[in-house]
Amino acid sequence: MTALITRRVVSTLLVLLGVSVVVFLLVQLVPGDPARVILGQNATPAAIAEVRQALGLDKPIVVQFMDYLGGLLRGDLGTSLIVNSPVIDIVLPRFMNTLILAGAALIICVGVGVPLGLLAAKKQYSVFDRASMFISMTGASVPVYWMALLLIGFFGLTLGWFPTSGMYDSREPGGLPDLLLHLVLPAVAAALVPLAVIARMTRSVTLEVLEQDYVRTLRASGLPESTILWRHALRNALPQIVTVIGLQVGYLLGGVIFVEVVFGWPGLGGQLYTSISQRDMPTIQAGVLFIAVVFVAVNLLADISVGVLDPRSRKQAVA
Amino acid sequence: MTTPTPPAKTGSPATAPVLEIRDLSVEFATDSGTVRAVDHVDLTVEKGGILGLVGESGSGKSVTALCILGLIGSRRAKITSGEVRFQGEDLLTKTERQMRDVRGGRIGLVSQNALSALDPSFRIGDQLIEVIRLHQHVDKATAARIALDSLDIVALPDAARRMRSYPHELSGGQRQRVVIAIALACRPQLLIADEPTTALDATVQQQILDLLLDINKNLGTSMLMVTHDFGVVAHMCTTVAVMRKGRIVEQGEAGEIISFPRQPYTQGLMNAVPRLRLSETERAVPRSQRRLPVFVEESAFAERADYATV
Repeated sequence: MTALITRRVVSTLLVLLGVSVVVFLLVQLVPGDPARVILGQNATPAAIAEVRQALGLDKPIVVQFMDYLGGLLRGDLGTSLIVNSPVIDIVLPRFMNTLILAGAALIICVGVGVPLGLLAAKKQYSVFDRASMFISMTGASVPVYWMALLLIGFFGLTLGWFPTSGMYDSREPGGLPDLLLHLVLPAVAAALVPLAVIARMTRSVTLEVLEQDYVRTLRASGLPESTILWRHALRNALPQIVTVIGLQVGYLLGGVIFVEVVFGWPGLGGQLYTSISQRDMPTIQAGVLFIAVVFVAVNLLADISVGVLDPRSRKQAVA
Repeated sequence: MTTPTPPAKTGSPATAPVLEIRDLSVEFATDSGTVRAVDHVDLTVEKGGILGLVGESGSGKSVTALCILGLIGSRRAKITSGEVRFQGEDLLTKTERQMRDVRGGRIGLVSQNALSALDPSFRIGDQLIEVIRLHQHVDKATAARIALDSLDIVALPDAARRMRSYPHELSGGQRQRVVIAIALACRPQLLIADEPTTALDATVQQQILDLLLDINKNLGTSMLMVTHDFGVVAHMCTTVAVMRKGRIVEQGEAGEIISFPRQPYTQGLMNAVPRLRLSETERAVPRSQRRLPVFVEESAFAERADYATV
């Protein structure tokens, strides 16, 4: 088990190194000179050269990368080109808000998607199965921002059940209950597509498990169908479900960016959107890096749990 | 239809049979029409006896066995006639809830595929304990003790340590012993063994058959042994029923039928057991005759002419 975890952690570190390279190259590949962004259209060449020197942009690219990497390791993500404060101070609070939103969406995905898939598999070809799979297919086909607008229109404006924007009520912020109320619509909007994928995958994996010989042994032992489904089938389908969930977190984080913009959620997505339109490269880099790190970390976690969940791979890892 | 030979009585004639199947028919709706997989079958398992249900693939023997447990797992299958009397009660009229008490509690199943018959994600001991607690309503420690007893009965080496093993850590023969232990844990009166040695090595097959025979002798468990192998019948069965195309074509005391098979089909099956030297006249059942007909009224004996020269 320790060997498995060590191997996964090492490969994750390598992936993170790759991520930092790609994030660093963002600045090099995107047209436009950061110095010109700071100084504006009418800057003199001398002023631009001065700023380039201050930013280290005149050094060879390898040196720039080493500087960047060194900064990362010290927790220094650079300084924003627009607001002239450390990027980390801008990005970190936003990142926390994004984690709240993504976490809530993930809870919905897993809490609804997995049981839905299990029940659909149990009642294969029933009305419930067909209806839930049709709805989840439709859900997966609708773009997140469009779904967000529909939710705002119906639950926010027509019914008036939920607030449509922000994280807290701006006039009388009400702590956790207020936050939860504001969380409902964006979390649902962000959750829909991954939820549909998770439900469909859970269904097909469970169907496969229910075909296995040992399920017949369980039935022949007199176990009730509910125990077979929720204990044995779920337990055997879990490694694959967890893998899918890990991958869907990536999709979730991508969707969250749109959702944050539509719902005015003060998260990383909204910040990235603003920073991209302002060409604030260090902030964009930091935002992308944070999202990539979360994705990689979640999948590391998923990999390790799959190892823990499947007794067979546990054995191999030790051997 | 032709009336099969009534089963020869073994043991004390005064005791009622454990299992009596009367006039059982099962039909499957297929894309090309209705197929009658089990056709008015009568079977009897005497108390303490071992009935061998013999036939080739697709002859309906496994379907018959699963009917007893109410486990024909297809929505396309339908039991169209008959009754399955187990200790005097008709199992076909029982509710699903009542059948759950019968399964694993009063009738145990040892299924075909020993290698995949155990849940790979749970320890051997936990799988046994789950079944024991389900039927006997005892606390965990008592259940663990009963589980260990069961593993001792099936002679699993190092049983106490094996309780904590996962199925993949056991060999095929050991896994089948565990499957038998689960089936026996609640001391069922009847054990259905559906080709219990198919997935195993030849040497291990013999051990498993001997184990089943020991269980029959020592615990008095009656058995329904589904097999295609007359060698198995000769080794352990008291009575035998030969099944073909959903019907019983011959039934009687095992020794008698092996010595004097009346039906040419039975001879065909017996000749199908591989031997080192085959005589010229011996041959297997022609493959073209194995498929079930799509609902035509046809005698299961219709092709006996094939064997007229044998």
